[in-house]
Amino acid sequence: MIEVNYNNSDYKSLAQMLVRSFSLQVDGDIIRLPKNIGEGFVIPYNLPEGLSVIVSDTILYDNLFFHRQATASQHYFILQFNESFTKGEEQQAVPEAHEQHVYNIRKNAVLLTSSLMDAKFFIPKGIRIRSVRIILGSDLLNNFIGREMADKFLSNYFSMLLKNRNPELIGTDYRVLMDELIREKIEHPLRMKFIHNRVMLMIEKLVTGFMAKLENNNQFIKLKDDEINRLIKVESLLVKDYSGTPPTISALSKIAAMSPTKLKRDFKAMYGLPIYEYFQKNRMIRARSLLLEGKYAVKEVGIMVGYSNLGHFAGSFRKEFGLLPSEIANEGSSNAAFATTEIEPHAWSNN
Amino acid sequence: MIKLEYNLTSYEDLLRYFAKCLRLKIADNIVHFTPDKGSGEIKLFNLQAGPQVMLLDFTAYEGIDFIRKKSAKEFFVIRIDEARELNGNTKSSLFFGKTSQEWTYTLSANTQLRQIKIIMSKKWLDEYFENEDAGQILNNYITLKSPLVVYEILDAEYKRLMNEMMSLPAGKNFEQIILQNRISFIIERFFTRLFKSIENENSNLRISSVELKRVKEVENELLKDFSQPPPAIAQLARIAAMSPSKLKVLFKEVFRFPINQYYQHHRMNKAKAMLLSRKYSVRDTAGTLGFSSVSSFNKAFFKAFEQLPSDIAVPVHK
Repeated sequence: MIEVNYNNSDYKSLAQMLVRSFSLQVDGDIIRLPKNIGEGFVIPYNLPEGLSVIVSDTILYDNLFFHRQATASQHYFILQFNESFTKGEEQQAVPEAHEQHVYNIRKNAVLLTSSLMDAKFFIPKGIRIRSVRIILGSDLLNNFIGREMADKFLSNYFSMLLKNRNPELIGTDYRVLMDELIREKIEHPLRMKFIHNRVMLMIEKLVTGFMAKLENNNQFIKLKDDEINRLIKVESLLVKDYSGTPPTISALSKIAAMSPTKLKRDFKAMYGLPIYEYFQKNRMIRARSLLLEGKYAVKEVGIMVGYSNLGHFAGSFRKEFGLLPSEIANEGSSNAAFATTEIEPHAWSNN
Repeated sequence: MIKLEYNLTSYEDLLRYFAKCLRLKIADNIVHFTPDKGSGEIKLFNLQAGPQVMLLDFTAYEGIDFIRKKSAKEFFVIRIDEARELNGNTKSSLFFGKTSQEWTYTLSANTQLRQIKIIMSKKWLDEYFENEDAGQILNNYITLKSPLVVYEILDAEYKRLMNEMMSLPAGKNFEQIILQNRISFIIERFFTRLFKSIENENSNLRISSVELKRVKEVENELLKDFSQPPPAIAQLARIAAMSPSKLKVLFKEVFRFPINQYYQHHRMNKAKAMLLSRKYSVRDTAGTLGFSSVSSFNKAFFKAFEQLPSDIAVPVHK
């Protein structure tokens, strides 16, 4: 068990500290984990307005506690998104600490904490974890949603968290954004803007999503922790790979250790859609983001998300987004639709 | 047909001007159409420390001609619009231009217009492009290209962003963050695509990173001091350690203009900036920038901007 104590208000300085204390290798912005510690990479980015981000995709060989010590001097929040991947049936004896302010990031995939409180994040060994962590100043939140709304949001959020109820899950929206951010090299001509905009969207989604659920009569999940964990496992299995046929309900219900009826009902309560509709929606969103990258042909994307028949793919895609994959693909790659004209101003007024 | 003519670069002023011409009232940065004139609204939205945004979503009973006149101030506008005519035809487009040029947009009567306009100052864009890989190329392109007119088909992704801004699903509470984020995505997307199209135009020539670095050194040297005559191409070629002909080709490739034209553009832009700062007289400016006489400066300035230095030394108001 390793414990790291820190109270840095930006991730560049935290990363520097980690590099020094664990003698990690640095390659430009990228920090790679050496073989004695684990596998994978970590990249910090400092953005304007006091925003700071660290993305990582790692497997650790030892259990780790990140202990963020409370600071009284600066008020900011730490928002993290953690997606963990397990191979098959794992059930390692994790110290299920029920201490306050100890968070197992497997259970708290989406988590907001404050710099004013001590927080310990437990990162289990042997599990691949992809994370985006964001530091945002309290001013930023006040500016964007107004002080009154920020107070309402924060007090409700933290009171739920204290009751050991985590109100947010990683759904499709977050996953797409995480996928865009957690890359060894983000190839984008406006890289910092690209990162900044996606980080802001994640903050927006957290706040608006939480408040919408709160205002709709507490539409939060009323399930036991253990059941929630099993459903999270089902969900991650479902969206792990689109290239094959999805697992059957009966296979999923075995994994979830609940009856098919209960699984279907609880899954819908948690993720808002029936199991296969959820699968399909995610598959289409994945296809869309692949197309928008502009690197793949429609046909390739179709195959990547498990369609051998291009017509079926186009049909399903249109059902989801109201347009054909080719309409998205063209805008991503070719410049056919993009004309920088030399026409004199005036000549092309709109009618 | 109502004619709206303006060269304002502040959207607060522009909204007031619209309201005045349309004889409508402004409340809380919103102009509401009264039932005798149409329906819908025009809304102003300020982004934090940066661009201003105007959201137009209305149907007017009378057609409107939007005519932008040249302004001495250099601002850049991204405009997205979707106009649904009475017969159901919809026209949509994305436009990008700068306020030192004229352009018009004609809206026929009884057409439902949904339009988003984003106005950005040169200074804001300079900061926006700073520390980005594509920053220099984009900045040069938009500064030097004349006329700067980019006209794009409004695709599904832009339409989605526009819809989200117009309908505000989460309600008024989160207006600020939702609008701000969508605008940021529109700006990011526009410049990313512009960059790709610039790149595609030049993709027939390869340039190594060492050469790129040297060409940038040349550019640095070229713009270092305007009070002296520019270094001769032969001299620049020595700095770049390449032949003059190769340097000329690569320079044009990277900066999109021949060396001397590029020098002259930047020199005149500097002149304009100095005059606009109101700290320098026409004579001082001409001297600092190495013109032998005010009249040759006047001539060069007119050639670049189609106006005389004295025209912009005095503020223009509409």
